[in-house]
Amino acid sequence: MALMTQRLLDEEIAIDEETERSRDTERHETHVNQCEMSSSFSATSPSTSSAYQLEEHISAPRATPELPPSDPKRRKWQSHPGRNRFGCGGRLVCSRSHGAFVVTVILMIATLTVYFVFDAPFLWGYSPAIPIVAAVLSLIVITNFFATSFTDPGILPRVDNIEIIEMDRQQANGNGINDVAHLRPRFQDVVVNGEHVKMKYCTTCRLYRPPRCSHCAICDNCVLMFDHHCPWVGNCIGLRNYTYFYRFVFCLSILVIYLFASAVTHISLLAQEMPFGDVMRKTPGSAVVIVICFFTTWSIIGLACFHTYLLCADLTTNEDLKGLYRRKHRPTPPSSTPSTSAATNSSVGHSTKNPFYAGCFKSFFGRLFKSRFPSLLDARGYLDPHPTIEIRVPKKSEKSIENH
Amino acid sequence: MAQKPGTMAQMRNGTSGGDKRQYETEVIILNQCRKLNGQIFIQRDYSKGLDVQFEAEYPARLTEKVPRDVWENTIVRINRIFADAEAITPQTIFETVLGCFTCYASYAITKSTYRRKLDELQEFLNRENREIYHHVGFHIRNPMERGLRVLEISLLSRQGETPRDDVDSPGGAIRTI
Ligand SMILES: [Zn+2]
Ligand SMILES: [Zn+2]
Repeated sequence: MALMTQRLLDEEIAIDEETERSRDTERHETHVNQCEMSSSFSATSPSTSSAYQLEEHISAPRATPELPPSDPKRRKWQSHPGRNRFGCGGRLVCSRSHGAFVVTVILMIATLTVYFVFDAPFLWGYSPAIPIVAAVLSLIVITNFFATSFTDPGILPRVDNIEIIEMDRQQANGNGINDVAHLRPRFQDVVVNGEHVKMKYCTTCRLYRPPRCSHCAICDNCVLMFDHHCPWVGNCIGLRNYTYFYRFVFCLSILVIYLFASAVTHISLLAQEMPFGDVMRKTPGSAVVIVICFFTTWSIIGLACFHTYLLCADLTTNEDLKGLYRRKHRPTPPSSTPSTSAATNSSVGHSTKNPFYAGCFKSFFGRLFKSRFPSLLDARGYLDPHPTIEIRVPKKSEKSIENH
Repeated sequence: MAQKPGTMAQMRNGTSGGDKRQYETEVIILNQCRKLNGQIFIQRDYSKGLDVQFEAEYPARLTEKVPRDVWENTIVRINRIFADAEAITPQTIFETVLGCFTCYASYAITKSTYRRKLDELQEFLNRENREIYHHVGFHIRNPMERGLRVLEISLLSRQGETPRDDVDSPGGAIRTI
């Protein structure tokens, strides 16, 4: 059963990787011109263009002052360049691809409805606790499901032109090179707890992805602690919604087993009183619940076990599937390492030890019970292309008045 | 808002009454300062893991303006606020458990520990800026505006002051390529 989930996840990741590669070559215009979205639940449409880095680099400083005076009412989510959907004035964030999400919702609602129409009244006669437990479990599952779907997974906002220009300038001054290609190497090496970790440059977001951050190809955002993009939930799973996702999967596996057991009990109790054909005619719903639960239960239990393992090992799905910290993936022999990193020594490369692992127990509770990380998107914040600050100066300051 | 390249700052009469009469408020347009003077970026320090921490190294451009120990005090305080925000305490556990039992309704009502620490950070930065950094022409911005990737220190330029020392022309920022 673990194999099944693995395959399921493999597919998800394979899509991610493939599109990321094709997307890496494209670049986004990061200007604030994407004003098309005005309704409260509309999607951003990123205009992709394959401009050279150099071109954009030159045009960037010129473009900034020409920005039209922006409407002070505009909020940040309205010009978000990723493929996301926002709801409730920026409070809810989800992916724009929602096909599988709808399937999940329909399947969940249908199964629960059938259960509460056919099985619950019968079981209430035996013990009211049985349907009540089911109701509570369903409530937990549904809230965690929607929390996963509509929480910002930890999207890292893209870098604005001013910061890029200044970074390049500082680097050029420091190294004395004026070549853009040398200015931004593809990787930056960083030492985490004594292990070397590579920070890849994201050409779309124009930043060095922090460790464990990855670019979601479907949503076109860099997501902190990227786990995977889950189409069933319709959102990326990352730093901010992983706990919801884990609780969802964990409780769902219990719920599915519970519903399965309830429906089987219902049918077997009835079967003692009447022939099987009559039972089927009396509660066709139970059979439906059994069939649905039987086919979903294996993958869901597998997924719950898999994520429990990931939590204990302090891994993300992304890292696990890439096999980042496994010995067999210890890279290429030292002779063929790229020239840039070979300068230090052969220990640079994929580390074999997970530098974030702090012990099974600590990792497990660390990720589940940390305080909620704030949304870096600040989707409800107002756009402020010309930020000002106020400082207090002495009134009789000759400097500021005489030089006028 | 005056957008002429020459005007970097606009004067506004101080409105605060009482003992603050001898001060007035000056509004500075940050983007112009950034273009003229550049910024100082303090990068994230990942050496101890992914918890938000910033490099404590003394930035070269602060020399002669801000004493080393003053800067170190500031950055250590900032890092400690983030360390407190990321820590697992009985409070954060209670918060999480309460959230689970109330279907996350409590999340909508109460502020998370992290959020409260960020408010504390904003307050701390405001105070440090007002008392130390504004006097010597710096402004530490809230790292949330840069997605907690970098801590940005803007170099303010008031009217009549010559911009950046290491670049001759005001168009220096564009010149780099
Ligand atoms: Zn990215
Ligand atoms: Zn995604």
